[in-house]
Amino acid sequence: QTDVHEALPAFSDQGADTCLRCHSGDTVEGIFSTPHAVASDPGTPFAQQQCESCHGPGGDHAGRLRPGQERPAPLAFAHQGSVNREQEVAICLSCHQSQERNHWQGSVHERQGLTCTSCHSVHTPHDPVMNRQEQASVCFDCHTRERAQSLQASAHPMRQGQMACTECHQPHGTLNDAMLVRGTLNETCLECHAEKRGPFLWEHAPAAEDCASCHVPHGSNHASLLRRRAPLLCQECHSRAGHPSIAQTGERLPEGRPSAALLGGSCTNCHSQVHGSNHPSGRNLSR
Amino acid sequence: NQDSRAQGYWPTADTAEWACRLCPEQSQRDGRVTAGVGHVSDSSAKFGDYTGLDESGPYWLGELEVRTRNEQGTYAEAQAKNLGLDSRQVRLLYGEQGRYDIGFEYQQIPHFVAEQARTPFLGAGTQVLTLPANWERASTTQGMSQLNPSLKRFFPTLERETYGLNAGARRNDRWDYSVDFRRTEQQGTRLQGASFLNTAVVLPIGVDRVTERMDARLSYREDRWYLQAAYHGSQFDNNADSVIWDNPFSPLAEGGDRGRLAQEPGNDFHQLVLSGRWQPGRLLQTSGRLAVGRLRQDEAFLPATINPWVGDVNQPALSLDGRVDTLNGQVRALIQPGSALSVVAELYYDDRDNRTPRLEFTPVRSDLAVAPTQFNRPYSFERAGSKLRADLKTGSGTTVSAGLSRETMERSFQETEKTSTTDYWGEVRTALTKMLDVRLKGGQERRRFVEHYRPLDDLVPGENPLLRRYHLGERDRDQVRASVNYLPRDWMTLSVSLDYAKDDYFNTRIGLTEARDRSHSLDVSVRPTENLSLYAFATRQRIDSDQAGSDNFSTPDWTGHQQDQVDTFGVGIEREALLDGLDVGLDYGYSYGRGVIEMETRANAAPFPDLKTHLSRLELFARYQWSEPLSLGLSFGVEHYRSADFFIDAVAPDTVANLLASGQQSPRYSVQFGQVSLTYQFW
Repeated sequence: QTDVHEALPAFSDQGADTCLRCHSGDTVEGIFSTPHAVASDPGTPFAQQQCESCHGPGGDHAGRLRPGQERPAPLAFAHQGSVNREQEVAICLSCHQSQERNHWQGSVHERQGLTCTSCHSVHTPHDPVMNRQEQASVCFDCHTRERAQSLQASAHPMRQGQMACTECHQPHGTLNDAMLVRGTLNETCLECHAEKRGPFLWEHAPAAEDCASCHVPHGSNHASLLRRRAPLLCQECHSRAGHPSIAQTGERLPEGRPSAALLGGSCTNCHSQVHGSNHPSGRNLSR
Repeated sequence: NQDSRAQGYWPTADTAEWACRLCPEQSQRDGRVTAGVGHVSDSSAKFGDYTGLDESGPYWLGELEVRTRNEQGTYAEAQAKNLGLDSRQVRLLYGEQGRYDIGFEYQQIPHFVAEQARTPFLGAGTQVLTLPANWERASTTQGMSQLNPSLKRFFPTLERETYGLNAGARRNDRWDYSVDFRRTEQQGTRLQGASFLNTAVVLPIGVDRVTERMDARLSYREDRWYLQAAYHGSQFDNNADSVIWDNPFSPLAEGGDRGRLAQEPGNDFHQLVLSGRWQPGRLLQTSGRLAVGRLRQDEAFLPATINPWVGDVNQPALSLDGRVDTLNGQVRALIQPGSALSVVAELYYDDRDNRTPRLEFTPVRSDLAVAPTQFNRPYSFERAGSKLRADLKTGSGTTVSAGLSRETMERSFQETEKTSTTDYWGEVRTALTKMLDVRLKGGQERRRFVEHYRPLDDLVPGENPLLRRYHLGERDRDQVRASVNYLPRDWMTLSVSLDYAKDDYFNTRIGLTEARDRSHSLDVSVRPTENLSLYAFATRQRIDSDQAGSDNFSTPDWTGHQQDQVDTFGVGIEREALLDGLDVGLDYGYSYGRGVIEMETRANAAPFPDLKTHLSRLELFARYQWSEPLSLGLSFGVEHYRSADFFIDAVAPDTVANLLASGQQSPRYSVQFGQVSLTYQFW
């Protein structure tokens, strides 16, 4: 608790009844349809100082004004409230700092100045960010690049409402890069793609190390969320004498001398076990 | 039994006189059921991908949403969506607030792999793919007299069904327990290439996979510290462990008329995770995580070949006995010596220790002939790094940040055993005025070899000595990010952002030599009145890459340049209470992607056509509150999709002499879709 406590106004005389005499409507009273308003749960705001559990002591705000005096704003979660962003987060965390919110401090979202209400709507039972179909639109407000990528030819089913950002990311902060839900990138991807986990007899080392060596997560102009097209993608690492070395050009299109090393699945027409093979004869990933 | 949440943030008030008389009743019931009918004008696998709207014609719409919560905090929720489609979702939840909850979840996801495909094989989607009895083998697809008469259409489709159960409990707000179990079944048909030396065929392979996952967590909380112990288990079973297919080409050796392709082996992964937080005060806040895991795979090996003419081939083991031990962890310390300065120090470690035995195997090349023996190369790596960053808030609403990080990566069986990466960056965030917020960030990353890069001796034939594999090669990366947020009114936001990154693989002569990624976007969000909201955005992303190769295994004699540019545009308007009880809205999205591949060789290389994808989607919707419990929903949309992909377009099953292709085409569709629904609010 910070220096905001040093010169606090008094609490209102009658708590929520004081507030509700002036404030009404769904955007205010929606709180009563949420868990926050269950007074029988001792941890909720309405088991404590009611509205002022979150907005802070409101005696000044609700008090009588002298002629010409401007009404002081509520301390927190209000336009021109005197409490800063860090303190607003501390108000929420005073009850909620457990589970996934343990690593908030020092996280990217914390450093960028976000608060809980940057994403969450509290005075409604239908918080969009808690809904699989609506969550992405909240995240896309800031993550504009990812929003554009979600409309590309190959993408995870975000646009169709079958996946939410939080299936891969933990927006309250983790200790890894990109706030992933699992310890590493590959552990996160393999949650849903466990068939690629191996270990295989013949491993494709970049696949075992980092899915992002070949794939992008949010959207690509190429199938299977690939960074680039084969054969050039494969030729970034494979240069052996013979077909891996050869430039595939427009001569190898259907109207020329069509090539199996270019068309269809390109390299994967033969080397189709790109994530690894467990076949004793699968060293070149073709069995 | 004290509930620490009850302490709250503010001082405690004397609430004895606070009656909350004006508060609405705290027991709530909210229930609505939606039923309706929709219609799709045209069939398209791509349009139906993930939505289930792949077939033209009518479909029925069913949704349910029920929530109840009484004054004691006991609640129940039921949600169901898309009940009439293969993309249905169901969620049930019951619990007592602050004490326990139990839930069930079901989700079905249809995925259409390709727009259309053709195959001469019988048994598509099974583990044995045979050719018609009258099939005549030939050395080229054009010579296969029975190919065209035998071709049948099929739709490669994968369907995921996930069932989830979860339960959680809390005690005294100190102890927290939860368990979450999920079972995903994935079934269908996918496309996969299979080959005999220099001939290949795209097969319709059956998929029958099950993944079961479990997470169990136990945590304890005090005011200044928190500790959680968790178990994560994941087991993957493949009920289709291989596929046998008839070789449609003339066999290159006796017995080479059938091949067998392995499918992904079953595996299991178990992990114990300990994580926690310790915050002695604002000056120092720390958190950390440590995970120990073990990955195993011991499925029986397939025989080296099914060719009876090759004879018995002995292998050193009947199964892999594969084992990978993982250890990863992170520690973070946030130090805030004053209100202006905060410093974050982090350490991380990630180890993949592959304990799989290294043995000498005797492969059979393409089910045709025994090849020289080969040792497997169980891959391990160890990544360790540290990060330091500082944020300094100046008095004028400006924050200046700087960071430095260093990482070392050690790998086994690779051309360089160790690389080191150093990254440093700076950032300024400032509010130039109350209405204008500017952020600028720039940084450089350097990756260097610690151990020399040298081609692997035991890789036969070897790689070009001038190659630097791109994920290992020495690299300089420069990055810039800038954004401006302008708030001319408290109901209007304008944002402009720019991202630029350039990778220079300065030591690479064969392989990826340079890559650039730039994107910029413009966003507008307006809410001039309580009932009207508008948004618009436009984004352009362009990705370029340059690489070099050598046809004759010497110095570079060709270069390839890939460029992908994607323009995205969207606009939306929503007007509530346009007329009494009527809300209307519009959403429009547009995306145009263009891929260019240019090759430069000694001869004048013939150009490739552009790769194109073009999506536009317009959707209009309206809600009308007919009466207190009854509302009407209407929506109508048009979606156009055009794509051109020279890799598959115009590639019929017999276009390429040594590739029996699937004949799939890149998707094109124009679909109109609409639905009308009634929602009855019964609570």
